[in-house]
Amino acid sequence: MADREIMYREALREAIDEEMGANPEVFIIGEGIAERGGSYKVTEGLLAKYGPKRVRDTPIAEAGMIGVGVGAAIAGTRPIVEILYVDFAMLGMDMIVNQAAKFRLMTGGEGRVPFVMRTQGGAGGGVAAQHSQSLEALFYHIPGLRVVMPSTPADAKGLLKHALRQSDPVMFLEHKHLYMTKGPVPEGEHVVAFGKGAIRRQGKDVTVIAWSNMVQRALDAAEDLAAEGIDVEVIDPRTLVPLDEDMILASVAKTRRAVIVQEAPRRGGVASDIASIIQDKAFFELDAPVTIVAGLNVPIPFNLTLEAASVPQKDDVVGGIRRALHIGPLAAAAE
Amino acid sequence: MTALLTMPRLGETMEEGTVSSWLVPVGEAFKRGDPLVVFETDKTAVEYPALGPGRLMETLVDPGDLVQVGAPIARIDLEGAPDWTGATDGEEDTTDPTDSPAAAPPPKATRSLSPGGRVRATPLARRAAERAGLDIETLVGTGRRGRVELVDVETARTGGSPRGSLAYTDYGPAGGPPVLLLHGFAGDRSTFEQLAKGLARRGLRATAVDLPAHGRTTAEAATLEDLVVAVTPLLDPRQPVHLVAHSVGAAVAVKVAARAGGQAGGVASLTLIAPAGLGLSIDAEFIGAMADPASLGMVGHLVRRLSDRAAGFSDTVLSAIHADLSRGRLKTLAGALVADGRQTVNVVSDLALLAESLPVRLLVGHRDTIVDWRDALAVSPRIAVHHFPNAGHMPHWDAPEIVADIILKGVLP
Repeated sequence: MADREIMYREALREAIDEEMGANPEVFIIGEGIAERGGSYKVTEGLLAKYGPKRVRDTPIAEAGMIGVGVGAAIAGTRPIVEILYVDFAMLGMDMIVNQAAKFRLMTGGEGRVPFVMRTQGGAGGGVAAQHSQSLEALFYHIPGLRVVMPSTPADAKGLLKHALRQSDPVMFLEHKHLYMTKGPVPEGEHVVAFGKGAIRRQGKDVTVIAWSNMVQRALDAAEDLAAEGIDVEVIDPRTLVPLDEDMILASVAKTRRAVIVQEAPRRGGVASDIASIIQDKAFFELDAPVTIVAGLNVPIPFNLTLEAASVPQKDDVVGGIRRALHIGPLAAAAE
Repeated sequence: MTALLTMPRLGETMEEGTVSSWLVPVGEAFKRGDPLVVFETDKTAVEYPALGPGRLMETLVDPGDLVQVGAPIARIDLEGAPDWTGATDGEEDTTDPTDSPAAAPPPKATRSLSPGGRVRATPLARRAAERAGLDIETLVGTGRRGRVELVDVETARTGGSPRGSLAYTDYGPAGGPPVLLLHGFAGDRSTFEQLAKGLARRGLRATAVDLPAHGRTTAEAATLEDLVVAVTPLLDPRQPVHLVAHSVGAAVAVKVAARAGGQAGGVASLTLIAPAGLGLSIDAEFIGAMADPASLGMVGHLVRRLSDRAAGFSDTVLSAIHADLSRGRLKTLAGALVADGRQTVNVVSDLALLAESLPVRLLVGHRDTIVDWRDALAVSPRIAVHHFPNAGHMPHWDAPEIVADIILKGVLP
């Protein structure tokens, strides 16, 4: 099947459109998603096609929206709740953490919660501390939730389709900077199962693990270093829960060095957990300490210069890789 | 007081081992660090040193005996020393091995191999060394902060380091014309990284070393002579090397070449960048303060004297440099290179003599504030002098492409 280049937001729309067409239980609610087509234009055209019962605007009331979604999922439908910024998902944390994540276990497996929360995070563009966070670690920490962070249009489509076919609560975390990015997406049916990472670039000298918006940054860093003869492997886990440990460990066993890049603050992040998995399961494969390149432990500043300084940029990733390869500080600085 | 020495666990998976031979006769005294016994495990044979002083009273197993980990193998007299037989890493051991030998936790393999303090090594390197039957203590680390990495084990396993005791990095094809890079005072081989890669791209084999008292080389140096002695063995008369050297490293290069007798002794040419030893003038404050920097801020100010590039150094880089210099390894050497604010080293006559038989070129930056570039105006007419009007003390940072071109033209016929 031939690939064509479409945008991340178009890929998401295709996934929703196809699944709504195939399954009458799928519906979507959110702020401004119906008539306006969504702030990021993901749901454009769906109202006309599927009508106001299945494509529904809500008031600015995230706790209510998430509650409706979790309840509807328990009742047997397949809701997509679009939360404009992941920051505002915090209003619905009780429904997510105490209800959606627990219901399957507490009903002995009888009750399922096929609830999909689509939202977006990440810094960039000066939208300040309450609209820029990367909060995947909060959901990653809660057993019972699936955490999905697509970095490409193809994965955005394939993973969202899979989310709408499985039966556990999914935190589908997009990135505000990716909506307009283009990439090849297969024609026709395209589903990507959870728990299988993607090797974005093959390399032999060092393994870089990155997700969401950091994947492209890692690839850019790899490109810079390739000019110096440093061969970087870039792994995108695509879903953080479930995590493709096998792919990560196999790559580290090959390169002997690991660098983990996350946009979220360093403290208590997913990167720290992946580092602990690597040291636990591949300690004797390591020829260098595991390096983490992460955001600073600060609220994201409004000022654009400070914003850029607070999350990893390409040069930070290059620096992290150099650290893992112990390339001398003077050499690094002199270039 | 007597104590029982027990069979140590020499590897994570080791359950038993064979005593191969006793290295101390019964009745003899030994001190901490002396090899006591040789063990064989399924992976390796190791000399096991005493972790403290004592006297061997009685051996409880004979050579060839297979012994379980934790079983007693000898009775020793501690002769008043604290009991070290059940020592664990940094913890007080409350069990009495004489009463309950099996309960005494066996010393860790790494500790047993390094009575004088542990070498820094990665988990992979330790595993590889154990498999290869190599004592990790004896390996020269080329990794970050001198740690032993897999490549160092491989180097040792396949015949040892060709660079003596100096940490080094090779760039470029193994068969290419060889270039040896010697850095300046308070630098290390990484100062040449960009130049070395440029030479490597053009097909040369460039080797950059860390001089004694610098970088990851563990050997220390008190005088210029110590540096000369360390570099001299790197020359091979069968394959003359092009020496490219900076500042104090350039003075070392001249002395090494002079002592070797030029071409016959293994030197093909000399390229001296901002060389020391051509005159009295020197930024003595720079030398003194780099050897003993009072603060991170001071390091930032000092390195800016080298090159405009240094203004772009991040705090991380400066902190790494500061941490390295703060170890104080350079203090004695600094005192030997500069006295009363003047250079003590003089290579003028050696250089003039060498220029009669060797191609010699000097590269000087007119904005150099560390040494006086005008000293290069008085050298022998046989020596080519390349002027960099806009470069400072580091022409190979300020104009790396041109420096690489000059070296290349000198090296290739």
